[in-house]
Amino acid sequence: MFGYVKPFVSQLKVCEHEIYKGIYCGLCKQFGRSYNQLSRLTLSYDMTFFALLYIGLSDEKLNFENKRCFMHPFKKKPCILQCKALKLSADIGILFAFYKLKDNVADENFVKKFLSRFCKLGLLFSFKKAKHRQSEVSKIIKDFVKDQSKMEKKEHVSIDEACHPTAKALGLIAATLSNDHKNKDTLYRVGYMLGRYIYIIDAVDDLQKDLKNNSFNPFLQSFSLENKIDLELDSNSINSFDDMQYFNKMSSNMQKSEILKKAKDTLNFTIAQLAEAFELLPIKRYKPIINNIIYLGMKSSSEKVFERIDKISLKIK
Amino acid sequence: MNSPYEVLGIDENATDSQVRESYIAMQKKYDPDSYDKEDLKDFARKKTEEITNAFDQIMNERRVKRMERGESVTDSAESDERFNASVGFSKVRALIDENDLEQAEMILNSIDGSGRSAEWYYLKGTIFFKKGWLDDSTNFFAAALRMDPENPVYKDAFDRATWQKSGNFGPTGNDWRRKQTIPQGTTCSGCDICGGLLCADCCCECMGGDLIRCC
Repeated sequence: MFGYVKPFVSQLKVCEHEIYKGIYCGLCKQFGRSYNQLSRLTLSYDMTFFALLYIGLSDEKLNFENKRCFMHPFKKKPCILQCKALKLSADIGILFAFYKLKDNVADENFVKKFLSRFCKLGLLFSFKKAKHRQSEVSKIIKDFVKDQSKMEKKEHVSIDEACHPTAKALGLIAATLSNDHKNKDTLYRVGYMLGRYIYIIDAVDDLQKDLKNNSFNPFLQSFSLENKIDLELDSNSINSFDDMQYFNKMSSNMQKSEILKKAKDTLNFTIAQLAEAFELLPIKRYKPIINNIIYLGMKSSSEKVFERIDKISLKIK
Repeated sequence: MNSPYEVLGIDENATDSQVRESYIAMQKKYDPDSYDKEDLKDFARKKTEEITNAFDQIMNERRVKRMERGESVTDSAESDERFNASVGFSKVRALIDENDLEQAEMILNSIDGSGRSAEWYYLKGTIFFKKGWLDDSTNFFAAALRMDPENPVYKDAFDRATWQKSGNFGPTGNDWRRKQTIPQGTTCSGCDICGGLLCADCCCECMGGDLIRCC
């Protein structure tokens, strides 16, 4: 779910990269400041993007300082000190992480259930603090989790319908980034398209896993996989196969390339619409960094995912 | 202020069906989607509102007269599905402009049968597009284009979807944000730099100069 909304580093200026890293490290430190050290594990590129968007829209003066951290104990790195954007992103990050863990606890997988319960306990106080600070966002995410599980129980959903809960949640959260009502609709659209992008790319990335676990995946619903029934009958022999071989058998038919083509088209359209909405926002600073993420980074992340899925099928041939 | 009959460009003695026909013709003529420029679109929208008001005024006056005469209030043409659909669409367009997508979708869903014209599919596609349901919107735009292949508005909507699905940004065929190709292996290595300097030095020496004195 996390880690796709990244910059395309080789096309960033060095100073822009330093600023981006400053926001990322600053957000990590903010988690530690606002909550506890465990909460720093919920740091993600997506929350960094939200922080960047908020900073871009605001005038708040930012202070950079060189700080050490657990991951870089020897060399100090530039870091943004406390600011509104980081505080807000940290709150949103905790809320997302907590509700996601709550969802995982309802999972049938024992190991996942146990780990999630453990992490949930560790984040409990942080969650209560965040819920108190951001009651509106907390309600949005709570509704999102409800809508998502309702949607996944449906018989057959289109890609658009499947993306809708995630997209709507991120849209509503993005709209809270500005108090100017003129920007709220545009921010909603940006957040909506961002949510669509994250959901679709996550679904493509999880094709192999969802196929194996028979979990919900909107792309697997749209196409019937001919070989699936045969494999279920052969389930005893499959247990000895590793993940790759299992998936390879499944993907040897043309339907996998159809899934990827459909996903690519929809992703491209979503990113283009995100860019269109984004261009309407009155970004005051760091626009080149956000441009890099939207016009280059998101495409690059998705191409890496497609390459990986493609490679899996090539092994069979 | 012009009389409603003047706005629709008909005579006061025109029959009900003639009034309707001229209303439909005027709606088509001043369809805001047919215009590219924003100021023309605005003018078209204002004109459409004027035409709708004129039509409503005429029909209400006639209805009142029929009531006074003791005749039935509705006339045969009012049950014409296609006509009702056309009247419905201007309301739908107004709702879409105001961003009241739920109401607009409800009105569209209440029209069925022959009322589902190319315009119906286009407006449904527009609603999905505004909602952010991009896949469904493309399907509806494609259907609208199939039913009315010559319409520039439907073609534009479908072409834009196809253009952006291929990985481009902005309007169809635009140049200002060309497809951002991610360069594969275009980084400069040390060998590239040295090789380039050596070539430059050779060319320089051919011309009588000397870039790198020791080569």
